[in-house]
Amino acid sequence: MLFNSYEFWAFFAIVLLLYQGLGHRGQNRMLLIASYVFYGSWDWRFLSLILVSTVVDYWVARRLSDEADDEGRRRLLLTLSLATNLGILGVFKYLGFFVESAAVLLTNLGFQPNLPSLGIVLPVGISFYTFQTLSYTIDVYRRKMAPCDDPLDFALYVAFFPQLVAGPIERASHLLPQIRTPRRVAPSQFREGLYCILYGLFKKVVIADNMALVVDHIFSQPTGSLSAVDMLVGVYAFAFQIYGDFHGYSLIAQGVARWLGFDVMDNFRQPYFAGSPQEFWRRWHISLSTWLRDYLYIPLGGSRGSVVQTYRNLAITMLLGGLWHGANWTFVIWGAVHGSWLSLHRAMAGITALWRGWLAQAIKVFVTFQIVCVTWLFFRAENVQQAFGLFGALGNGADVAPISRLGIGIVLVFVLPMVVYEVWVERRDDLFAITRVPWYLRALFYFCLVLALVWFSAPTASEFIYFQF
Amino acid sequence: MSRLREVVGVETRTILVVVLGLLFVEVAVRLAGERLSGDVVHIEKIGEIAGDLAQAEGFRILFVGNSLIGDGLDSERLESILAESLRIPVRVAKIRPDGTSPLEWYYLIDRHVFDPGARPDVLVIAFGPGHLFDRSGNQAVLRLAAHHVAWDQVGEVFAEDLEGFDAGAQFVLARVSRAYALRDRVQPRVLDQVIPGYQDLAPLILRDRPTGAEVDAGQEQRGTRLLERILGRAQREGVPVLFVAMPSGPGWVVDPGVERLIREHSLGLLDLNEELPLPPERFPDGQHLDDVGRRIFTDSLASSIAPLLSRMPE
Repeated sequence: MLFNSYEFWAFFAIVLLLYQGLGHRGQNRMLLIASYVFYGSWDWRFLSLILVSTVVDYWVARRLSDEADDEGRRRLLLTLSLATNLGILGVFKYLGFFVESAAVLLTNLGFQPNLPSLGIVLPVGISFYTFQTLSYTIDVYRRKMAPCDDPLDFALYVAFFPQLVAGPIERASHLLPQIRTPRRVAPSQFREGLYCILYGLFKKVVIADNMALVVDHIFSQPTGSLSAVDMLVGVYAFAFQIYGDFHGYSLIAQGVARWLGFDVMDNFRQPYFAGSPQEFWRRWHISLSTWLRDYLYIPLGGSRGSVVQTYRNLAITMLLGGLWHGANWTFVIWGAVHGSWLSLHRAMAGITALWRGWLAQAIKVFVTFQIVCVTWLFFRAENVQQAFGLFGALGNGADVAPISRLGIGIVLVFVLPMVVYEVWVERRDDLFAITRVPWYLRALFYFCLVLALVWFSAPTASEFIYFQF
Repeated sequence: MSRLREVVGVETRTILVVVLGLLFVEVAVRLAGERLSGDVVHIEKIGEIAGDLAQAEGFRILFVGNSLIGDGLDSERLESILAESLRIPVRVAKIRPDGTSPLEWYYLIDRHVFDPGARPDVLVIAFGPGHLFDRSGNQAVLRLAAHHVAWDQVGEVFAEDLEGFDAGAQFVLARVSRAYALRDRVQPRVLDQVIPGYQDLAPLILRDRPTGAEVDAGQEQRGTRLLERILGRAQREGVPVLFVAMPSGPGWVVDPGVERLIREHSLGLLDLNEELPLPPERFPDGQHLDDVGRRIFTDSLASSIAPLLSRMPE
């Protein structure tokens, strides 16, 4: 049940209708059932994994509260939660990858390993809800919040369907209080929700899916047959595909949640206008980058130790951040490149800070975008060989094949209007600026979005990229 | 309810303007629909074409296919060659909506040929690579809803041919809104204005992508259920069916399973792709025949089809 399917909107309409007629507790129970139906529509068997995480973390958090004076037992309880959640994630997401990598390594060392091909199916959204529920037990362990006393409310926090399968990764301290207190949908929430849903669908169905046509074609060609221009068209198109795809999903999740009276965090802030890697990560997948900062980078020591320790912490955080995206060496390299870039930029901070003014900022934004695009090449490539093959295409001359001309046209026609709009949002420094302009201007904007959805959605729809994570 | 009105009320004017804008577009598309595409003009005339053929004197041949036969067959030339060869008047008509396959053919034959009793003496189905396999992508659903399905066929479409909630929703939307149904005709025309060569090049990047139905099925579909339905319906109506494999360049052979099915349940298969190897220059866009190719194909078809028709019972 994808956000870009009619099935989802029919489901949501029913949920919304039922929701209006219920009291607070009834709303929560109904949302929990709806969330399980939503998740079960992919594969009901994987509901058991969510239930295990829910039961273990609810129980662990309650026990953490009961054992307030026994630090040893508290550490043991936290370890149990970490082992359960990361164990599930490890088995379903990484075991096959590690077995395969071990087989390759042993083969290269001259052994003849006969390791089985596990063929484990990856449950949708497992990385998202695992991190979400982990943040809860860690926060309770750190005494930053009290444990939830209602198991069904906690179950709803883990499985809340708008952001269950692809985020934003909500903190318990933000979402649980909203679950536990009665909600009234404010008119402003309806207005902002409408904007989020329309713009989110536009970004997914019009921007991302049209970019996917170009990207999939170019990335399916033998790398030796691609010119430098072909490769660059593919990479730039992918940069906007993944942005449209993931930001689109996050916006729809925000919009749907707002119509239910919830406030879900912003996950993106015009990331391609960032002027440095640090700024990029403050604007891209904010819920993951802040999670990694709070639960990995800072516990490792953050920037409190020596320079070398800081770089080590950055490298570990970004490597694991890369691996979070998928069990593939391409994601590990992607994370390593980002970690190295963050370290290098940190080392040069004194120099770059001296360079000010609008021209300097424009150059910083341009350079940052180019480096981000280089890293996307690893992110999109099927394997490391293809990634380096694509780099090799830079030496294949600058012939502009007809397909690349078409690709350039598609990228410009679909992306330029979005960029113009986001420049305006950036200058207003307000993600919901459109909800504060006169109603007739907003109506014109929405009309354009809806018309684009009707006429310019891609001929073939694609799944959301982040579902596979 | 008053609470709901209060919440939604903040955007009433905005939503109303968007809805009015969409209604305006709907009216504009309905008024200008025929100008959007020559194919739509042809589709609107299918009933007339089938009716005229049924009224005609002599031997009546109805070709059903897509743009391959639309561009590839010179009907008048075929009529005159066959009339001379068979020594009776011959009328040839083509029903050839672009990009169609057995799904659309089944319903349009049923609606315009069998249901009104406009039976030809022979029904010829012309096909290219992969055309006879079951296909039911988004485009086919929109076209079924907008053009090919009569109201009394809607139940059958839902029962037999629309898989999943989304296909049903798309069908209903396309049935209600012309602007929605014609999206696959509006999009390339508009994009061709702003992206030079879009209409020629876009099929190249779309060609390898699976349709929505194929994605759902997890693999390319190779079924022939729809073809069997067409053959069964024609058999019940007593209309003989002949198949013509269109010249489509090297590298394609008719699927053995399809060939077996055709030979068991029809007059036969004229494999002009195999018998008439045409050079690549006869296919300027890689698929459709040029003028010279059309003449060669029509002549070849006439000489292949004449002996078959002469053996048919009166």
